[in-house]
This record gives sequence, structure tokens and C-alpha cells, in this order.
Amino acid sequence: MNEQHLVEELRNQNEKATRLFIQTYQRDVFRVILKIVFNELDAEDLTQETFMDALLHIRDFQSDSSLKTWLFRIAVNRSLQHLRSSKRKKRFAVLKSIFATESDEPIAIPDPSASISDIMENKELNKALQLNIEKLPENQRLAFSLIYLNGHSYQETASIMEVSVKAIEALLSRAKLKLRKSLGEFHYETT
Amino acid sequence: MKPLNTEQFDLLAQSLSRQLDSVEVPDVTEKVLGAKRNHSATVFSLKRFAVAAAILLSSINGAILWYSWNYSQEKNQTELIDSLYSTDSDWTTLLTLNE
Repeated sequence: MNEQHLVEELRNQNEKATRLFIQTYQRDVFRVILKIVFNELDAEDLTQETFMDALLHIRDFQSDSSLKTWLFRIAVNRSLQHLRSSKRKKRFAVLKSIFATESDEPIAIPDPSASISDIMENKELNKALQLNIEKLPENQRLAFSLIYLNGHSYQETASIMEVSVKAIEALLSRAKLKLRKSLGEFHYETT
Repeated sequence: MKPLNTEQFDLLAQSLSRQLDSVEVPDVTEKVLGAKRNHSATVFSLKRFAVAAAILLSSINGAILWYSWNYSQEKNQTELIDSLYSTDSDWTTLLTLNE
């Protein structure tokens, strides 16, 4: 079934086509969301919400982008909404932040004499990268996640985020600079 | 303090990506289909409710119109009869009406 036919069938609320649509794209949608929100359960919920949104608004889909890009756009917007609401919740969760064991605590690398390749496989350093990505401004975080973690091209990312390729380049450059700097500090402090 | 070099940074990003790729992807097909069925059922119920409410409101509206028309007719007749039987009424009018 080609994309145009699939869209027509989805508009006709064909259950077989709906099933095919979900099964075709759920893996990619889940990964995109997971690499933005960094939480499995939230990613699962947001994947469901993304498909619900897509199915309810399939009539709004225009063929100026691919169905996959349109779906990723919904996924990214859903993830952003989630991040914003999480931030709001965090602001009010004073007690939770006081007793939290993660986030701003320094992460120790178990073996300071480990080689760089060992460190690259080190979960602690991965965690540090994740925490630093979470601190980036929204757009930088999205650009970094889509390009570096999801492997999308600049063009695809620009299309998903509905900005120019130049804007993506600028966002990514700033994100990388911040991350490299903060991780460098982390790396040299712990070795 | 030196920042990580590009190679180190790229390797680290790849490592995080691989770590996240190892997370099992849940199958949400049935959940989405179930939620869509519920949504459709809710929309259908809401539409039915809206139609029923519209019918009920138009019935009430019709009843009010019918009652007010009836009432005004009755009132007109009463006023006419009252005026005819009043002392200063014109008997020729009453006779004309009787004919």
C-alpha cells in the first residue's frame, strides 16, 4: 500500500490501514520521543498520544511533506508539551527536588585511569551527557536529539521542526559547544 | 579546562544513542485502536445527545409558541366578548357577528 492510498484509507477510518500505519511507524516514533524525553514510560504514553493525534487529524495532512515527517512533527510537539508540563510540575515539587538523588549531583567515573574508549562506553558519562542535554534550551535540545541521537539529516530535522536548515546548523552548533564544554569540565574534573 | 574534542564527543553521543536504542519498543497498536474506538464511541454519543437535545429544545420551543398563540387567541376572544357585552358596546356589531 503506497502512502497516498494509506492516507485515503486512514481518512476512511479503515481499521486494517490504521493497524498497518501504527505498526509501520511506532518503532521510529517511540525512538524519536525517547531520545527527547529520556523516559521509557513517558515515551510509550507519548507514542500513543502521537498516533491518536495523527488519526484524529489525518484530514489536515497535506502531501507537502511525507507522512513520516508529519508524524514526527506531531511526536516532537507532543514531547515539547510534555517537557513544558514536566518543568511546571518540577517548579512546584520543592520537596521532591530537595530529596532527589540524581540531577545536579556530580557523577563519579569508577576508574579515573580508564581510556577514552572505555569512558565512551561508560554509563555514567552517558548519563552526564543526558543530564546536560536536558539542560539545553528546547530548540537546541530538539535539534541535537534529532540529528545526533536519531540520525536525521539537517534537511529532515528542519522539516520536522519547521525551521530553515541554517537555523538548525546554528542551533546544533550552540548545543554542541555547550555540551562539549560542560562534558569536558565533567571529564577533566573526574579524571 | 578543555572541552571534549569532536571525536570524543561524537563517540559519546553515539554511545548514548546506542544505549537508548537498546530499550525495547512497546507495541501500542491495540492501545491506540482501543482509544480510537472509545473516542469514536464518545463522539457518537455526544452527537446523539446533541441531536436529542436539539429535538427536545425545538419541541419545547414549539410547545411555547403553540401555547402563546393559543393564549393570545383566547385572550383576544375574551376581550372581544367582554367588549361586546359591555354597556357601551355597539349592538349592531354583535348582531353582525351573530349573522
